[in-house]
Amino acid sequence: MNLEKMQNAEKLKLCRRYYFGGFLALPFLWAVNAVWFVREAFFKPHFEEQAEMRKYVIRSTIGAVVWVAGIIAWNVIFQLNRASWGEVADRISYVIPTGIP
Amino acid sequence: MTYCKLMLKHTCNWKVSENVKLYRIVDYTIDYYGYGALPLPFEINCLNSCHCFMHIIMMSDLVLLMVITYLTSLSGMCFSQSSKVYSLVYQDFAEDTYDKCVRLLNGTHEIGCQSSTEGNTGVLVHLNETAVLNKFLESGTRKHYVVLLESSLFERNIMLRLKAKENVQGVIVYEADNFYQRAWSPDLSCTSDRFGLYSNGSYGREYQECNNGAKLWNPLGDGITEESFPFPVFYMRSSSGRDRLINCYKDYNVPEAYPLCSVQMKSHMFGAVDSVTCTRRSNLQNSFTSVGYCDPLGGMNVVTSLQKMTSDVSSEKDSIILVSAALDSRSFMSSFTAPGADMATGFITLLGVANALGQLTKTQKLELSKNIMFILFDGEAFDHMGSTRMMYDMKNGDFPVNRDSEKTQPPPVNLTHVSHIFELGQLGYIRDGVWAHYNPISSKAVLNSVYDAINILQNLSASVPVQNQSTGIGLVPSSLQTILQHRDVPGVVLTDYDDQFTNRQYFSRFDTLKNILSLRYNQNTTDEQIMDLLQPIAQNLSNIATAIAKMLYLIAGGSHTSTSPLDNITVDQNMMNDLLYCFLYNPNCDLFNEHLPLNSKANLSSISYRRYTSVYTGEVSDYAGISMNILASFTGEKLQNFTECLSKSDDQTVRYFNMNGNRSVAEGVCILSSTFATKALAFPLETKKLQENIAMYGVWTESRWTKTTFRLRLFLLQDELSQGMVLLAGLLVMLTSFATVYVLNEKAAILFNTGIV
Repeated sequence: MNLEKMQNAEKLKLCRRYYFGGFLALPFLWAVNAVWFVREAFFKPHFEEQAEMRKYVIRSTIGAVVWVAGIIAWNVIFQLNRASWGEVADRISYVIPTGIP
Repeated sequence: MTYCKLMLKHTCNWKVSENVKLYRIVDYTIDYYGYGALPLPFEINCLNSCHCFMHIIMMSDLVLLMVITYLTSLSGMCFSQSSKVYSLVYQDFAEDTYDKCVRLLNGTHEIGCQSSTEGNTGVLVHLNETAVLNKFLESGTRKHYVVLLESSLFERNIMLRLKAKENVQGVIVYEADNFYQRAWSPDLSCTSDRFGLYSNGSYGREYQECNNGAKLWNPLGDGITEESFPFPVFYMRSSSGRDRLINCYKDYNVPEAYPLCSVQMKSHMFGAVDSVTCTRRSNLQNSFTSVGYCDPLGGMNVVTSLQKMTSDVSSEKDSIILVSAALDSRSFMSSFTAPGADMATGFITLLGVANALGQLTKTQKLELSKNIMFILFDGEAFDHMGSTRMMYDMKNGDFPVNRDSEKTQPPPVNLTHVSHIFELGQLGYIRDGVWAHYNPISSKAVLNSVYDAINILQNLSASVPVQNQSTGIGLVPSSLQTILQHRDVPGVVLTDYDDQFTNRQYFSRFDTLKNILSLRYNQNTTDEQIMDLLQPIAQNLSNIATAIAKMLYLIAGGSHTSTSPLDNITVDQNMMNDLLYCFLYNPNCDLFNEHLPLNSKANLSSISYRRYTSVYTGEVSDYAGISMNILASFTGEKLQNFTECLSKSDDQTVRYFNMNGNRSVAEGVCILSSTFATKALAFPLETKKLQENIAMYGVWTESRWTKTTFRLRLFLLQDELSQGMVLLAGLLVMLTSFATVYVLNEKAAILFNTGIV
């Protein structure tokens, strides 16, 4: 989609769709939303829908960052503790490494 | 716009030409075939055909480069092993030239060795004397080493010191030319004590842990078999392989300068932690490509009844005598060698006893008031799995066959029906006679029965004196210890030792027949020499077997009159000689060939059996199978009518064996015998779910590995500086080529200028 050729109202609709879509456990949608519309929302001369677009972009960024932090935290905890959790860890693993505890 | 033809139709010329045309490279490949063109995502403007050609070459170079990089990165180190480049870099060792240490797991631990997934690499270092070893332990400072260890230095203390030295990545053990097997055992010094009679609670506390270390059964044992090593350990059997390694070390590593001779060893095992964990992981089917991690160890016990067991008579109290022996053995590298020659003399003597009693006529057998059951246990070397399982089966009424109401079955046997138990242990070193072992803290009544039985045996055995065990020691480690945990039954274990093993290589790879014959392990001897040297041992064993057979006959209620067959009960010494030769030296012998199933395709190898119980398959192992056939043939009934020599599936009281015999008749020999094969598998491992509290039993499993998991190869290692330089040079070439192309492209107008623009 070429944002150059879209109306402002359509851009806002798209941004809003991506924002609400991200609530369905889709952090990447939020990340894309943030990156795609950041120039439109903050670095273009003012247009009517910009305020709302800014709101969505900021919230998308925050959401994406929180998710990334959460995923990294879970990954680190799992990698460090998988061996000591015994059966629970084996049940939630998809691939259990061979030959190590 | 015209297309730039790949076949240079236009000659490349540097002269100024009249027309300046701009060519555009579109899709040159499609154009080559004349199908028309597809626009490429990128468009390159080229000024004339030369310029175009240059672009095409560079593009195809780039594509080729990408393809090559992709392929090599995929295959990594695995450029074809048969290619000349591979053999310039690596020297492989064939897998059958060395034995490998694998990983076994039990309920709480893992033992054995493990390597990383890609293999452990290190600079080779040769340790053949203690002084060299000590120097290495102090001063070896490279990042990784692989130790080439002389086999006289292979023992637990030294291996633990190597394990503690963190940069040892692998050990290869070799035998020097003048090697002589020293007195040493890899097994624990207080062997088989984990689930023994005195190991639990207050019963026999004074005998616990070999009288708390005072009376070790296996004093030469250092326990290396139960250690776990984080690096691979290989045992180089071939002398040419050993020489290659030693020479590589001498040529490259003794002058301590690069290039250095290095070794890579790979033996990656899948199992980890313990049997509970790896079985659980194997059972969790998380994905379609889930691998199994370990398999249970186990085999099948062989049980034969002297009297035919019929389904309509249930067993009476104290009506059965059990005679048992252990079949299997182990060593540090059980998967590759587990000779256990001294252990084998026990079951070979049992076969002799079975032969003598089997020669009684059918009426004589039926006249005996007690039945005699011969039991050959498999899996005893691993915390007595065979006898433990038999106890479990007896408790559930599943001995000798699993209860099934729809079939004709022999009556279930349990310990209340058993009046005596005799076990034959290690009997290879009979010098001054044998010793009778029993549990000294049994009840008074039981001990009286025991003393009576030993008395009878002593009176019958003139040539091989039978002595009582010394006071102050408990029952010897044996299957009897497992059985007595369930009921106090009169039981005697016969061995060639009193309070310590006479075997100086217990459960070692050197516990071979040659060792019993006091020959060197690697000495060359002919078959005839072996047969001659076996005669004294065969004589001892046949004498004691004759005495045991007579004693059994008397205890079972046989008559003592002058017309009784008692005096005719003898064990043939030549047959014992054959049994020893076949089981411990060369299975491809007449005795075994006669007892193979009729026209079986299986060929007997000439290498003596590796009597490791191995992974449970639900069938008798090779050594148990031939023992079963021999036992059935010795004690069973020979049938003349061959049309019915087939076991019926719903009659489990008897089994028909159609064996080769001495080949005088084409249909072979048909034997009818009450023979059963019962599981020798720790019962917690049979269900899919392992309970958590399995500490009561030995649950042994063997880790899985892939077909390509074992690898040993030599290569030369360059110093880090050279390696860095090569990498840097490659990077520079790559960057230079990028720069050149960029420059050429930018200045294309000037370089390929065809005229005034």
